[in-house]
Amino acid sequence: MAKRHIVQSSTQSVTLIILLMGILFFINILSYRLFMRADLTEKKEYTVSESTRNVLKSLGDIVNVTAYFSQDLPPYHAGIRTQVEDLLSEYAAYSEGNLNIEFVDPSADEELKARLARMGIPEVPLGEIKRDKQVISMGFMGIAIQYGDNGEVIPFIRNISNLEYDLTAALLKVKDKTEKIIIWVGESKTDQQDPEGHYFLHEELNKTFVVRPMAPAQVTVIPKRTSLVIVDGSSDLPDRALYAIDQYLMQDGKVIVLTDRVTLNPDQGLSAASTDQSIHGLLESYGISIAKELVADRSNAMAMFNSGMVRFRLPYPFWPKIGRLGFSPDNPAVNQLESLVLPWTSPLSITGQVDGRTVVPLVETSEVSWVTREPFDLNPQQKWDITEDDLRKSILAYDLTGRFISYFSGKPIPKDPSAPLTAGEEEETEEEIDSSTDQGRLIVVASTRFITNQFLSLHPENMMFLQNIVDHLAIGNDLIGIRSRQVTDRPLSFGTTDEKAVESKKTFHRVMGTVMIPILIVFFGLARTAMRKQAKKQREQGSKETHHE
Amino acid sequence: MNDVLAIFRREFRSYFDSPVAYIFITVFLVLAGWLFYSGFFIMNFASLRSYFDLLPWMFLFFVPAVTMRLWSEEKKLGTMELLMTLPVRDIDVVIGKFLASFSFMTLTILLTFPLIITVFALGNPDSGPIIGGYLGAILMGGAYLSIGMFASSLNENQIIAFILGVVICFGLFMVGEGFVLMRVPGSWAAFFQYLGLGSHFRSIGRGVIDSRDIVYYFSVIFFFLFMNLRALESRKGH
Repeated sequence: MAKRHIVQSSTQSVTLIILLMGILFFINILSYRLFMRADLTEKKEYTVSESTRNVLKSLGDIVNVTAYFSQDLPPYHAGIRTQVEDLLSEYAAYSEGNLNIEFVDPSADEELKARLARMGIPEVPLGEIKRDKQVISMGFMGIAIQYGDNGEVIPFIRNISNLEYDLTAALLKVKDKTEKIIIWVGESKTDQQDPEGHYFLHEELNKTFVVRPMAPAQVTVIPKRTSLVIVDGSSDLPDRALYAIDQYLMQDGKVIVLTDRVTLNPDQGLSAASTDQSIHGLLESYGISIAKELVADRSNAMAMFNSGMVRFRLPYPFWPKIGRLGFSPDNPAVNQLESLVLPWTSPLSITGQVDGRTVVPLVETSEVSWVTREPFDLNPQQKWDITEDDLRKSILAYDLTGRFISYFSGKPIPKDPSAPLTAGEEEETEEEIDSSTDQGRLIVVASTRFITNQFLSLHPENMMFLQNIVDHLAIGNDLIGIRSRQVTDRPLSFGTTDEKAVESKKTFHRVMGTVMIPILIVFFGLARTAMRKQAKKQREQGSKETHHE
Repeated sequence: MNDVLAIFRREFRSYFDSPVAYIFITVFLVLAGWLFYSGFFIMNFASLRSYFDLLPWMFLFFVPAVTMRLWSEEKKLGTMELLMTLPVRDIDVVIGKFLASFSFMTLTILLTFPLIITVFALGNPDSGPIIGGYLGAILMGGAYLSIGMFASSLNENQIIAFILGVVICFGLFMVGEGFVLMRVPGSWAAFFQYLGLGSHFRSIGRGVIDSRDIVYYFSVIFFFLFMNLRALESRKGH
């Protein structure tokens, strides 16, 4: 009888457990589909941004978004699909019915596969582990955005962090049929392996724009419809190229100039010398000069050095690290940024006339910064001979807006070398423009090296800075709001430059955070034990007295 | 409700009547602080992320250590029968004990507040991930506790209860981690990831309070408390 009761009770238990598991499973499935989220991050990093919402609201017509995902993706990539679904459903909710979203598995449809390959969405190899072996399977993870005859694709979604930017940029592109062209004036260094190359920068910029590199010697005229010109000042420019840039600016063009005043000599170890380049004269005529000095800063990035067989990392004052306070608070291109590293940079200043233009310092060093003059000593372990009086902020980037006067006004026009005159031919006169209206835009950054492959891999935040100023000039501020939220760097600040004071602050926090509370807890425990003993003693005495009575 | 409160008070006080609580809190805080500060100044970021990354692993050993004595000790000291014959319902005892250990664990987590002082004094951290990290830690700790309590109800040997608790927590944590997800079929990956204790903690720890994560943790807590109750009842049946 007892045995039957136990069996009955066990069966009841198992049934109840299975029932509970079923109920909980159902509740979780339900909650998975109907959920609420509160994004507590300061910049609402996990919510669709204001910029994207504005773009979605202004769609005005149906845009088709088709996500091509294979059904059997390896586990890691399957997780990305869920995140893409979440993001696209948020997009649809803000689009006021103008976004048609569809998920398609092209794996079994050979015709569709071929069409996708033509569109630029390839079947990509994806790694996974099966039976303890690394195997490669093929799959689709791309998105196509179609508006009328205009199409854009995101070929492969590596991770979700850039997807909002890429999607919104693609939406802007399909809506605006005009191609946005950036002319890159500088030597074309698009080799991925070259540390001094610009492969990663061009790859990023090409997602939104069409980047056309032009060697300085080939720049004779810059078409007016160009959205932006970026001048890589790492090599000197011939007069004709300067003239082309100047005339483009006079037609209310938008120009970013990256320039150095001190060049490094890689053949002689860490040595540097100042340089005079033609672009410096052009900039001076617009009111910006760059000093023959190198900026050093106590707020700096670490750099790797070789000493024979040994490699070591050291804080390097010649790589100033700009923190949140170093960015102009009023300029939307930079006021959300947290960090930027400008290596071997020189201070900019305003010289001459800047009438008719507003000049805004975009980036400045910390208060504990100073400058060094020739001959330059780049040794990271040198003894710095500086006093409090030497410390001052340096401006490393300026934003100029307004009316520019031509550098070539009253000067002869440099000849176009691509159109040599033959004897007897009449010289075709070019019409020179002496000044722009009040719509000219120029940004000057005192470094060319901060966007090389090597520096972008060390300091990805540099890419964000450049992309923001490019977007700011070329397409306005629509996309800046999205990217500036991807902030990763919130550096510590000790509020002092004295190394001893910094060390003592570190020790204070270390002690406070590690042992202060445990010591208090131990004291609390000892006090409590003593009080309990006392109370016990009193109770025992009380009971003895009662017993005697 | 009064019975739950009475059990809660008795249990919570009992933590501080023995040196165990003081040793536990001290070791936890010193270890968390030491591990956090050893990387904090090198990383140079005003964030508690490195501390929260450690928590699931620290909980794996600390939480079963808190719960191992909850039932095992009662059985060993013979107070279990006394407790079970008192005019209180089993469910009240289970909830009272759980709330006591939950409050003790929450107190321990909150005592790491000097780390918050450090990051705010030396930088400009995003408070969202800090709030999310603490909330996630408390919820994940609750899930670990319910598992540990269940393990303790199965055996009167504290060491076995501890090991059993660690094993179940480890299993439910690892099932949602990349190491396991890489080895399961793609169509099951999302399910396994959802099942894992750590993935929901990371989700809340980003600073996003998601109802799905909260429902998940409450489900785990509820399920293991129910299992705990069944284990007690089956013991009574015998």
